[in-house]
Amino acid sequence: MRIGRVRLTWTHLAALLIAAFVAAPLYWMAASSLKGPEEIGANPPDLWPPNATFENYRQAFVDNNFGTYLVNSVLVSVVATTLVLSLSAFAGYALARLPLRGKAPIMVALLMISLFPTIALAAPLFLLMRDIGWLNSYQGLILVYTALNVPFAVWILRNFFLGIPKEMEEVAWVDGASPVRTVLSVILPQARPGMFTAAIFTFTACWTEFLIALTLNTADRFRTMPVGLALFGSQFTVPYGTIFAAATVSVLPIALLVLVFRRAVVSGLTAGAVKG
Amino acid sequence: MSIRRAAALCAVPVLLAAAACGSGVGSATVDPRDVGPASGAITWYAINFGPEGLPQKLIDAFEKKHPEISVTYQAAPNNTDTMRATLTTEISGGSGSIDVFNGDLIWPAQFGRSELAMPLDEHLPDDFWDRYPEQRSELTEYRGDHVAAPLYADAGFLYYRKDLLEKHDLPVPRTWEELAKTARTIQDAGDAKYGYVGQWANYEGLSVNWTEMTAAAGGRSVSDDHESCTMETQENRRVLDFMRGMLDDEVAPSAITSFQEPQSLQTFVEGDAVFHRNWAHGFGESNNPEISAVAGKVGIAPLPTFEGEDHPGPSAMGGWNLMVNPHSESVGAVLTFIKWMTGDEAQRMLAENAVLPTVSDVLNDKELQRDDPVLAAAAEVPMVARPALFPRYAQVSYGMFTNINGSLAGTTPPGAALRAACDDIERALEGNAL
Amino acid sequence: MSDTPPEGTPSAAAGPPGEDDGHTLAYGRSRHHPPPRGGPAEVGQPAEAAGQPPGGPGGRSRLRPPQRSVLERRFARLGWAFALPGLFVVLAVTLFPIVFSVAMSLSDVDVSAGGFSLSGFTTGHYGLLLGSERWRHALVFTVLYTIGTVVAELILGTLIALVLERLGGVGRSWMMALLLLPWAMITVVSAQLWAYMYNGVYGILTAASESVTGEPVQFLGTRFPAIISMAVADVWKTTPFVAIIVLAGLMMLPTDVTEAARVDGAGAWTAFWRVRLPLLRPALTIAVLFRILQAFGIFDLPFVLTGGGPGDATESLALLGWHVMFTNLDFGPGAAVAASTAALVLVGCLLFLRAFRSQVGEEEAGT
Repeated sequence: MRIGRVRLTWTHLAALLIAAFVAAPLYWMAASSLKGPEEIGANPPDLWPPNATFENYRQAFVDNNFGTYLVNSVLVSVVATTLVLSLSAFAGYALARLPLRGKAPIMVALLMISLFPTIALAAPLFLLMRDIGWLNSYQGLILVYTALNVPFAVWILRNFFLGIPKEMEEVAWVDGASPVRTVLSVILPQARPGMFTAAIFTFTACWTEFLIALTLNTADRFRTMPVGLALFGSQFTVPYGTIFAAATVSVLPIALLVLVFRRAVVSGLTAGAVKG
Repeated sequence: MSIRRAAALCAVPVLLAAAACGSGVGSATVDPRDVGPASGAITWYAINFGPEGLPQKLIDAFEKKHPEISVTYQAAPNNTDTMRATLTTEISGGSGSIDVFNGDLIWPAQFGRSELAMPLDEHLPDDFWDRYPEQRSELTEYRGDHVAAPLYADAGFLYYRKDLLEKHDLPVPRTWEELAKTARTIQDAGDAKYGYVGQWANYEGLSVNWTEMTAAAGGRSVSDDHESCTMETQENRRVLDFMRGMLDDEVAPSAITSFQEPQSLQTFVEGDAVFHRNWAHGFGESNNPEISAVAGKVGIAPLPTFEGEDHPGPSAMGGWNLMVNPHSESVGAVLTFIKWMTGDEAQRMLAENAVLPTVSDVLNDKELQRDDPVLAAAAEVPMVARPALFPRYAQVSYGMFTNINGSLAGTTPPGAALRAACDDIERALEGNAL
Repeated sequence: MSDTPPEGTPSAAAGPPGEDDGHTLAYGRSRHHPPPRGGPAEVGQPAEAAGQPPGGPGGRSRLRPPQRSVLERRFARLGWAFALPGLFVVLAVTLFPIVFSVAMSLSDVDVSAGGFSLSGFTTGHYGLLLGSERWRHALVFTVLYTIGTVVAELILGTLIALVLERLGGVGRSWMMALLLLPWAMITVVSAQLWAYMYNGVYGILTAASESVTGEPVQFLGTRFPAIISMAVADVWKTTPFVAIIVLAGLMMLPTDVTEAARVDGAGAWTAFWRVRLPLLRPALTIAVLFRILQAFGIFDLPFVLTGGGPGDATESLALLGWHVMFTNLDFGPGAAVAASTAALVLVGCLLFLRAFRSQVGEEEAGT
């Protein structure tokens, strides 16, 4: 037991260290977002905002259209993530368990697609979307994000499905469950960590994507947050305060989601654990 | 199921479009003579400039004069390269959603070559260009045709701490050598951390700083006919050695090799530097008590020269033009907009908002100059242009700034850096650069 | 089943065994198997080429009977019905851009008001790359940077995952929330944040380094510090990705394996190294694979943080591609940069899959 307690202490210490390394830059961002323009460039910097002000937040939301961009980002990311998960869960299952020919080529092809540099895709995607009239729309961006994130999600989900004992589904089959139901009610709950991981990564990928959003949606009312942030300031000024205020707001939803659904998140990561 | 089916249905037209798209996206350009009526709605795409909301103020004034035209301002990403990327994609993708856009002073030849900007000479009276200084309007030409109309100007200036010079009873330096010496004196007295800050990072701005300093020393980087590199000269070597000397003597902070305009300005407004090279906005910002710790203590002067050369050193030309999307379906309205924006009323509005006008009459207006020391200084200084009339200037500039920056950061010795720059520039001139 | 390690990666590099890694449900074998209740099977495409011999030459096809039963074909159809919608969306959106981009890299491209016009066939753009010092430098930098950061992230990420696994409970969920924040930050913004912290005059890190060493460290001004500083910013942002994937992988491990090892008298370290690490192979493979992809395509960070400088010290292939395409407006050579980057990273990934598979396979054999 003593060993156990010592270990516990080390674990906590290590966790604290990790937390400090991760949190320090975030703290600095949040602290700087509360500083006035002069304090932002103070040398040496003030560790704590001496005259905390919400002026930067006011500028981000009132002077700039940051609220609109935020809503657009949420909409696009949520819909794209939902689509990606529903498409990849079935595709991943098929590629893990069902007797398909050419699985290896399919997996490699998916890999190839996801490694093609975005800079080379932006211009042709613009042509594509112009031809179907989906420039400056939500659906255009959602479709592109879905397509670009399915490969990763399939890879990760297939991997998790492979870790699930076959007996489970075989039992379901024996009981006469339909294939779709088997996947939905037997496989997916088992692979919750995988679904959770794929969901987080898809969501953040959509949430942070810049170049394609910039290219496809130029009208202000369809712009997403990363693009909106690039509009702050002017050619020769980097308004760090406003950018950090907006950035602080942009990471809050994620933090809140994870905290609110803390139990679901943790059970998502643990409940599916296969006890052999 | 329904979600999947919907997604699959969505994808069908995409696939068909992909097949139909093929390689050449042949969307016909607007017939240059048929410009359409001078009315309707147009979209103007530009990076924010001037004080907050200036573009909209200009539009409001325009719409008052021309109620039959409505203009929508669309803010561009505040990074010049990013803005150029979106424009290229849009225009070469055949989109006419942007009618008129602000284009950097160094873009006309490049955009002209790629047909991303509409030639304007057919549509504007011949005497239109007389409103500009000749040197400025020349920079908007590509193959003898103007492809852009100068909107606002910019120039490099030397900003200095009046209070510190007074305290040490020193004059505003007229040469770079004197500047370094003055700075050192003030630094040694403990009155400022650094002597000089400018834009020496690895980007276009270093080409600007370099062009100014070499021009002051009598050097240049590319021959007039864009045939050969003239990087490896004694004049240029003198400048590079001097720049490195400023770093060695700690007159310039070693961080200067990562400074762009915002960083150098921030250092200066915090009171950490005696001298500062920046564009025209530097004066207003460093004298603005809301953001500057040295407000009211900042003077403006033309750039220094080198010992034995003519004073003052020339300023690099900066600023932005108006350019027309060849796919615009409202060229008539756009032309009206351009004429107004480059006319007396708009140009005066710019000057009153601390943005340098391009039109000679407004630039030289004594009354405006009395209220604005920057305008007065801008009208005086000699100007030097970057070799941007060469369509592949972007590669030439890369050859300049990346090698100079590498040398300033201590990676390569000056001689080798100039030679490498020349190799790169020559390849660019021959069209063999990546 | 309990002592059978979960199997891992699709054996892309190892060839066709992906056909059946031994995971495919052995529907065909199952004597008491009811037929699936129709429905979805009819939605899908009919399985093509049913006459081909199944299994392929891979060594793991031993579980399969030599011929496909009717039932098995039915399941294959079901498989396609499941897989096709996703694959179709991916292809519909990406096929044209990729083909177009490769075509651009192989022809003379004119960017003009009439759009891109491609003419002729040329390998000149690739020749330009190979002859360019700038491209070679970007390539070397990108490869070394990718290896360096991915290795660092892999080690740190695994350690963090192990710590979190032990932490358990409330602590873990708070840590998870915290870890997700850097990852969820817009790259351009996190790059701005680091640029702000590294700033040579008023950066907090510069000030901190001054108070520690007495001399301010210039993080971005000179070559090697700039590369290291960029890597640190990158590791800060992307290690959580690795940590979370590995943590999820750890959670999926059967607990009795570790317990069995412990009962056998193995220490915690040995148990981890010899038993759990090999079992983590699938999770690690995916984490590394996708980190390689992202690191190889790194763009936003150097774009904002260093502009590729000082000199050309931090110019990555993606940044180079962007400059060639959108600064120089040379779409042919730009597309060649992109396509060659894709080809190189594909080779890298396949090599990695092969190497990682066989190496961990040995570990496994030794256990």
